[in-house]
Amino acid sequence: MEISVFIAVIMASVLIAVYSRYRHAARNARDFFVASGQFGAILIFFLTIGETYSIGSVLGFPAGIYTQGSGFGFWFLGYILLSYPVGYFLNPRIWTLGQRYACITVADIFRNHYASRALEILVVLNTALFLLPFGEMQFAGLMVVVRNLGWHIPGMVMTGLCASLTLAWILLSGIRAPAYVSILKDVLMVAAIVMGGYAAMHAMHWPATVPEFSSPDNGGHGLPGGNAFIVSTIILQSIGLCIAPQTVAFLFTAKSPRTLQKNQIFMPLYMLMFPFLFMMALYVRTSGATPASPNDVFMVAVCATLPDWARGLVAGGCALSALVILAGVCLALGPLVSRNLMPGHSDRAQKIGAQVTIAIYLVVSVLGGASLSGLMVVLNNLYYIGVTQLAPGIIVALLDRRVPAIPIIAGLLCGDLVGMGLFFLHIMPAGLNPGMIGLIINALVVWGGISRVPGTACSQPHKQISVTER
Amino acid sequence: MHDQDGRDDAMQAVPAISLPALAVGLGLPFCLVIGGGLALQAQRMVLFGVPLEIIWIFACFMLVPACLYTCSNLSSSAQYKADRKPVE
Repeated sequence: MEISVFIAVIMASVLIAVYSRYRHAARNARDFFVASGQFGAILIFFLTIGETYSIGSVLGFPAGIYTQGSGFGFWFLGYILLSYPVGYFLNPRIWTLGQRYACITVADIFRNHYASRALEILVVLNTALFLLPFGEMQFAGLMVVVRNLGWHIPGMVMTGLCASLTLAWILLSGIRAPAYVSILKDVLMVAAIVMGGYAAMHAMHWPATVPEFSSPDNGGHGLPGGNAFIVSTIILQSIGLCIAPQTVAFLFTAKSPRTLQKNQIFMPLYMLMFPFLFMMALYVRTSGATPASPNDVFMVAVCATLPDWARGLVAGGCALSALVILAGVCLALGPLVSRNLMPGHSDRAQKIGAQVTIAIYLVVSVLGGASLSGLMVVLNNLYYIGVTQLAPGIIVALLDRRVPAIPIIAGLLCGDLVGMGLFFLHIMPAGLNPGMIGLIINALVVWGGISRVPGTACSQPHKQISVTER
Repeated sequence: MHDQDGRDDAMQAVPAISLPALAVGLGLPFCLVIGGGLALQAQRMVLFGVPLEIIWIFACFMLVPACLYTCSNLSSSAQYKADRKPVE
């Protein structure tokens, strides 16, 4: 029954992906990667939500609560929640910049606004590198689900099939496939988590019987560095979530900036699934169950409380979560390589180049997914430290200031070096997140640099460096 | 199902950022989530087995949209007044 429901969910996703092509076959690279900026409020809502909550969130939140207690929950929920107010102000304005310069990637903004090839390459390296672990992380999460359900399918076969499915979605209709499938995925995830959470509450007889919630760290925060670290990490990551390369790419799919802004108002309501995930972690902690690893907490609760068919539904939802995120990351990574790193090709060549990049990325991710390599874990830890360093450059562009690229390049390099240096040396000045220190230094360098040159407003678009003319 | 839906926001401009809008839409959510969370974390209280700061963050899932909705209305009414000014 489990497997039948799981296969039904996967088949439904394939049908939806085919339908998305039937209605709108991608004509050119812009249509393939950002749907020619035609998505309305509903698709943007589900695409953005779908890309925020990965299989890592579903498995990681209960795992963090189980091992690190409430401090983890405060940080994890805090930064996601606060990314919505940040996005409320930033997203529509980034969209406007994207329209002005006909952008597909975040690097396009930097290339066109600052007219600098060096800055464009630096931004690609600063973003593409940190996207690499996402593929392996999704496959590693998928293997946790399969292992807990006791399916006798070799991990490599399962991840290989999932990677093939992701590639098929992307080749079928580009960004439209994950956007349309994310509607199914988001509905399934909420259904699965609410069912699991309710079953866990029922099994604990909550709230009639109050379980003992003792922090595993004897009342500490569960995170190093205390309050300063938690607060600085929440601020850093709430900004980083809004300017991540895949998030920016999704903004360009929207038809209007007001749609993006209005969506931000209601997005926090989707987080109402987290109390149910919390209950599942609470159930595992109080039931005396011993998961093989913290990442198994969610599936231990699912397997202990839900019937066969519901477990199949959960597995299907988890698989779609992994694949939608994977497709989104692929569609962000592909053009960063084929358009920004190797420019000068025709529209068709860019599209093919991106598809080849995506195929290679998926193969590498499948091979690495079985055992997350040390390098990927390090890159994942550095994700927000690196990606958030784009913020000063984007904000200067949003302020319509036309300044040379040198201060932005200097700020980016300083921010990266300081943030990563402090991270590797395990130094946290004043208990702050190393990425936040890097961001402050980055912003100071940019501010110092641009205040020395007379900036001019550029409400009229300047000459864009065309991808094909370079 | 189409790429676009019934809502048509295409013609609506994004309101300019004003200080009250920034305070309600950005300042207040950060104060609520971070300030409220830290204050309750210091109390180390538990309700029905759930730490109070976690319950507070759950409540913020509704408080933050309320802040953003208020901010949106503030900006819209300010824009409406600005649009009417030359007519008056």
